[in-house]
Amino acid sequence: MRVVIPKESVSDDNYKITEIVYENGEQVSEGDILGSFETSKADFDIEAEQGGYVYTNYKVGETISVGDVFFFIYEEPKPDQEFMQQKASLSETSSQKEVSGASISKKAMALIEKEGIDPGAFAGKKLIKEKDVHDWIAANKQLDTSLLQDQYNANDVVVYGAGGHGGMCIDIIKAVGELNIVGLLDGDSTKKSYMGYKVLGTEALIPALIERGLKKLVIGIGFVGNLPKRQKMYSRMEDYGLELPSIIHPNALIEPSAVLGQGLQVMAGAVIGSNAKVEDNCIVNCNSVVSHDCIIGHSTHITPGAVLAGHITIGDRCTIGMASTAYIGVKIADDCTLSNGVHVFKDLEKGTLVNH
Amino acid sequence: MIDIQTNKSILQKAFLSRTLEERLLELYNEGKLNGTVHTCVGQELIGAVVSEYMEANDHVVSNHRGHGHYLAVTEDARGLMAEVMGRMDGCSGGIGGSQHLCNDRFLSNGIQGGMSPIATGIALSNKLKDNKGVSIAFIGDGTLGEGILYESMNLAAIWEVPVVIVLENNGYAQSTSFQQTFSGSVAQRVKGFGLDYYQCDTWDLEGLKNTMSEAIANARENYKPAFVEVTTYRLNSHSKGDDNRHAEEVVDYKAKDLLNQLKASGDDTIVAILAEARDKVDEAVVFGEGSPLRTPLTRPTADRPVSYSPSVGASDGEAKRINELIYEQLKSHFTDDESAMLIGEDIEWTNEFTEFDYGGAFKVTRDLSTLFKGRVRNTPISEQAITGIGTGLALAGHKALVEIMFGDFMTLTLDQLLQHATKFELMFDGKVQVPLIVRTPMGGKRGYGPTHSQSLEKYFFGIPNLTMVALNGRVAPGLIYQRILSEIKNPHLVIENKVLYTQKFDQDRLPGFDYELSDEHLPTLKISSDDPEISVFCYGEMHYSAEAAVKDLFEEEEVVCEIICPSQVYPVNIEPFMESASLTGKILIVEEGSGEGAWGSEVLARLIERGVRPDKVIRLSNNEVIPCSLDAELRQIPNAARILEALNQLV
Repeated sequence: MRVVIPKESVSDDNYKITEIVYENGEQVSEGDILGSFETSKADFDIEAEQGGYVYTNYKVGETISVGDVFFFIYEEPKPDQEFMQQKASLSETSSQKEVSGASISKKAMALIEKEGIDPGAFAGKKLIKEKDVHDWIAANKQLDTSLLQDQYNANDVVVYGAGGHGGMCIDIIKAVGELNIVGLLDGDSTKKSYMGYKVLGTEALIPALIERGLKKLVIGIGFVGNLPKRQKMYSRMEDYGLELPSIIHPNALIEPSAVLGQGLQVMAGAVIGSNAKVEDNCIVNCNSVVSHDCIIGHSTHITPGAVLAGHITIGDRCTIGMASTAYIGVKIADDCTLSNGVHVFKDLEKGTLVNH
Repeated sequence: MIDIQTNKSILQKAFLSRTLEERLLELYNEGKLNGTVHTCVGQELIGAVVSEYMEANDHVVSNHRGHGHYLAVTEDARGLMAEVMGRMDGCSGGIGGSQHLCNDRFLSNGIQGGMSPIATGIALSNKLKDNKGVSIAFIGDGTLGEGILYESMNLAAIWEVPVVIVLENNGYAQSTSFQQTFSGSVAQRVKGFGLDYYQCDTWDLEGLKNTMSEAIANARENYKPAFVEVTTYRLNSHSKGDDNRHAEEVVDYKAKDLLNQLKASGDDTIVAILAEARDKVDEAVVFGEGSPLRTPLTRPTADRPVSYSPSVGASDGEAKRINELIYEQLKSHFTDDESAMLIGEDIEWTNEFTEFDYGGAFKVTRDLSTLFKGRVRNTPISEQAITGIGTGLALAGHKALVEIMFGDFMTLTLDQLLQHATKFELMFDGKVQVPLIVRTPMGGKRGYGPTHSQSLEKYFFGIPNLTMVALNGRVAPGLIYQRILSEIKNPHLVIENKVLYTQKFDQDRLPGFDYELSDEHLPTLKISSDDPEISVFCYGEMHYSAEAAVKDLFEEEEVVCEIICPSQVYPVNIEPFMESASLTGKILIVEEGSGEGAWGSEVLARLIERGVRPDKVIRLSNNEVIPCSLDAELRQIPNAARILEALNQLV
C-alpha cells in the first residue's frame, strides 16, 4: 500500500521531512509511526495503517509535496515497480551536471556533454554560454594523437582534404614517387579514411605533426568559388612552418624555360609553355593550356580544358572556367572569374565575373 | 437666573466664541475670508462648560463646528483667527483652516465621526499610562449616522477607556432634520453599547455643569466611557446662507438663548465680558492680518542615487520562515519599547476565553499577547476603528502597530489613513506626528477567492505622507521592521505576503547571478549578472516567479535579465530603475495586483520624464477579479511561464 502525504495545512503544499524511523525493508506493524514532516504551523506524524515491510525514496531534510507517496508498505520485503519508478524520477531531477556558482545555458551544456568536457573547467565563471565553451575548446581541447607516428621523415607528406581534389593529389604524389603519404587531414571528423589512407584528424593536429618531424603538406581542396580562402589556408600552412611542395603529374607538359612557384598542382595533360611564369599555390588542371610568356598570379585556378593564348597576364585568385579561352595579350586583374566556355578578348578589371 | 459671578469663566469663554464667530461672519461678508464657516452660535456653553472640568492630561477632538470648543480649551483667539484667515501663524499654519484646528490638547477634523476612534485610542493610552487623562470627543446629531462612531463606542466599552463623547444634538444635520436621520432612542443606543448615558441641555446651565462634571469625573476615576447628550440649537445656518429651517423656530430659539438673554439684561459684568471679548477679537484680527499668507505646500523628492553591495543572505540561523522572522522582530521591539502596542483581529495566543492557541490568522503574532500582557489585543471586526485607535495611540506617543487580517479588508481603513493618520502631520503644519504601522498580508495563489486574495496596493499608492513598504523573500523582514521602527515619524503601510509567510527566507539563489541590496533606508534588491539585456521591475513576492523565468531565459536563449525589486513601493525612488533601464533599454514590469494607474505606471511615467526611451516595454499584472478556482487563479496572476513568454517577446 502507499502512504500519501495529506494536506494538513491550508497555507502550504510542501513540507519538510523531519524524521524517518525505519530502514528500507524493515518490518512494521499497524499503528507504528513511520516518520514525521513539518508544516509552517506544526509537525505531523505519519502512521502505518497496516503492517508489512516499509520502503521510502526520501531522506530526512528533503521536501515532499501534498499528494506524493512518502512510504510504500509491502506484504513481502520486496519493493515493486511503482517504487522503482519513483526512485528513478526523483534521481532524474537532481542529476544534471552542475558547475557550482554558475548558470549554464542549454546549448552550452549540450556542447559540454558532446565534447566530454569536465564542467569543473569553467569554475569561477558566473554564466556559461555556448561561445564560452567554444572558446574553451579552442584553447584546451585535447587532441587525439593516437594515429600519429612517433617520428616523421623529411619526405613524408600529409594531404589535407579527404575527397575529390585530394584524391587527384594522392594519385599525382604516388605517380611521382618522391614523397610518402603518411595520412590525411580533414575538418570533418566523421571521415575516417580515403583511398586507403587514414584520416589522422583535423587541422588542430598540425602542431603535433610538426613536433614529430613532419615537414610537408599538400592542400587537397580546390576551394571552388572561394579562392581567397585557399590563399588564406596556404598562408596559414606557411605560418605553421610547413613546406608546401609542388606536385606535378608525370604526364603534364612543361617547357624547361617556364618558371614555376611553390605549392603548385599541375594535373595530367596540362601544358605550360615557354617562358611562362606561374606563381605560388596555383592549380593548372587537366588538359589546360598556359601558352608561352603568360604570367599567372598566385592562388589562381586554371580549370580543365581552359586555353590561354600567349602573353596573357592573369592576377591572383582568379578562376578560369572549363573550356574558356582568352585572346593573346589580354590582361585579367585579380579576383576575376571566367565562367565555363566564355571567350575573353578584352582586359578585365579586378573582381570581374564573365558570364555568357 | 444665572449666577454670573460663579459662572464668569464659563461666560467669558462662551462670549469670546460668540463674538469671534460673529466677527468671522462680518469678515466673510466683507470678502476677507474664504472657505467654510460652520458657526456654533447658540451652542457655545457646551464647550465652555466641558473645559471647566478638564485637567492636565485631558484631550479634546472636535468636528467642523469646532471654534467654540477650540476657544474654550485653548483661549487662543489669535491662532484661530489667523488660521481662518489662512495665515502662517494660524494654529494649523494656515493649512487646516476652520475645520482642522490644532493645539496642545486639541485636534479637529471635518470628517464626520472620524475622530471618535482616535479619541478612543488616546483614552486607551491614558489608561495604559494611568495618568488620569480623559479623552473628549464632540459630535453632532448628524454624526450618529456614521458607523465608525459605534465601532468606537463598542471598543471603548470593551476596553473600559476614559472617553467622553459629547453629542451636541441641535436637531439638524446640515439641512436634514433629526426626524429623518435617526431611528430609536439615543439613550438606548448608548446603553446598548455599555456606555454610561447622560442627558442635559444648553438652557439649564446648572444641569449642564452637573452632568458634565459627573460624566467626566466618572470617566477619569473609574475608567467608565460616557456619552453625554446635550440638547441644543444652532442659531445660524449650517454653513453660510444655507438655513432651511422654519423661520419662527429660529426666532424662538434666539429668544431662548441664554447668552442673548444675558446680553439683553445689560448686566455690568456681562457688558465688561463683552467688551473684553471684543478687544480680544479685534486684537486677533490685527494679529491675523499682520501674519503672512500661507505659502503652497511642497514635498521633497524621494529620488536619490543608490549604490549596491552584496546581500549576505541567510545564515543557518536565519533559514527560518518569514512569518517567524517577523514575529522575532516584533518580539524584540516589544521587549525594547514598553510603549509598543499591537491590536488586530485574532492575534492573541491563548486567553481566558479559549483553550487552544491561535496567534494570528497567519501565525505571525504567536505568543506575543502572553509575553506582553495587555499590549497585544484582539479586537472586534472593526478595521476602521482598529486603524483609528492605532492613530490615537500614535498621537499619544506610542509606536502603534495595527494588524489588518487580510489586505483585502484594507478598503475599510482608507478613510482613517487618508483623511486622518497621514493628513494630520500635513494639515496641522507638522505640529503632530502619527508613528503608526499598519501591517497586512496581500496576495493570492492560495485559492481563497475574489475577496481574500487581492493585492490592493494601488488604492493606497500616492497618499501624501504615507510610506508603503512591501516585504519580499530576500530582504530580511527583521531588517525592514527594525529600520521602520527605529526612525518612524509618519504612517507606514507594510504589505506582507501570504505565500511568503510560510517560505524560508532567501531561498535558493540563481547560480551565477549577483544578489545585491541598495544602501537605501529600506533596501532595494537587485539580481543581476554580466551584460544584462532586459530589466525586470517588480515588488513583493513576484520576484521569485521572475527569477524562475530569468533562469529559464538564460538557459534557453543565453540572455541575461536583471531584476530590480524595491522594498519601499511608495514614495518611489526612481534612481535604481533609471540605472537599470538606461543600461538595458528593455523593460518588463510585473505586478500581482492591478496594473492600471498603479506602481508600474508611475515608474514608467517617471522614467519617460527623465528622458529614458526604452526600445520595448511590457507590463504584466492582474486587472481582473480573482477566481476561486486555484488553477485559473495561478494562470491569471503573473507566473513564471507568463513572465518567460514576455521576456521572449522582449529579446
